[in-house]
Amino acid sequence: MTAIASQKGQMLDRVGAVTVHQGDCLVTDSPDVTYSTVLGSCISACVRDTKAQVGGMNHFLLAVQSSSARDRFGESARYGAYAMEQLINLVLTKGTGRKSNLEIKVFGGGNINASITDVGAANAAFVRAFMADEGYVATSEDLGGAFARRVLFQPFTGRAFVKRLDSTINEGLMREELAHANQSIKPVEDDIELF
Amino acid sequence: MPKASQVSVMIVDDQQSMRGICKYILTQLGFKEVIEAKNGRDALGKLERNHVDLIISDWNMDDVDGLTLLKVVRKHPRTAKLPFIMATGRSDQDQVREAISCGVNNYVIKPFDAGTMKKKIEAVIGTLA
Repeated sequence: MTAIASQKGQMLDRVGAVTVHQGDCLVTDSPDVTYSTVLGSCISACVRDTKAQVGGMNHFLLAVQSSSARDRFGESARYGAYAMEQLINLVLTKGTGRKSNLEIKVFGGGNINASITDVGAANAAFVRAFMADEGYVATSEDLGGAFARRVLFQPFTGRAFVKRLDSTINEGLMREELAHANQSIKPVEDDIELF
Repeated sequence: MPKASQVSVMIVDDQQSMRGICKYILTQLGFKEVIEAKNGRDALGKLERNHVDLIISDWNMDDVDGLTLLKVVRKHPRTAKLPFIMATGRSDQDQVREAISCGVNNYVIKPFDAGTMKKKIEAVIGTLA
């Protein structure tokens, strides 16, 4: 199946969609671009400047899971906060530069393996806390649940489409997400020398 | 050799979560006096009313961005030599070069950890006791 039906009955072709992989942060003002991603316990935020019709999508996972208050600012939170900031700043830079013009939709955080700690719930809690801390209200969200999701997002129109996926893909997807998360959290090396 | 507990640091960032993360890291490094500012304008007001030994500022902010803050700080005789570290994203190398030309003392790329931040701070104010 290569198309997902929207609520208004339109068919959205995902064959030509740009895939947003874990760790990516893509932004565009093109009316022709659709972003596509598959989320297990990962989170994707879709951020759009409603005045400038510029939008983007990220895809991230908090690698180190902890429910303790101490980790609110720990390694994983740093990575998640940066992933959100990076997307918001890119949209602001390409758009009007005004946070009041942003609309944000958040997806993912599924518990796709019931036998281990609910990584997805921790991710969902992170993104909800981030939104609350920064004063944003999600215009749409689909978080949690015991399933993976495919999300399509059209930055130009702001429309997002979610399809809940069959549980047979869960195990492979979870392994892939965690393997990538453990690689992606390394601090960035400097590449500009100061005099 | 400066003692972290005696160094007053100002964090400037329009994202509350990033200020929280930075403050948490500074606390881990032994800093006790951390002043938060939510943008460049807020920072300039707080600089007038507080003693500050080091500024760590974000670049992208709504109301007076990091580069403008740096330029104003460098122009004012009282703050002209104030140590200033800019925090940027990994794709913002042009910003770093511009900040260097405007007199920034160092920069740190997000997301950073306590070890990286310590290294950057020590490169600017000296090894912490």
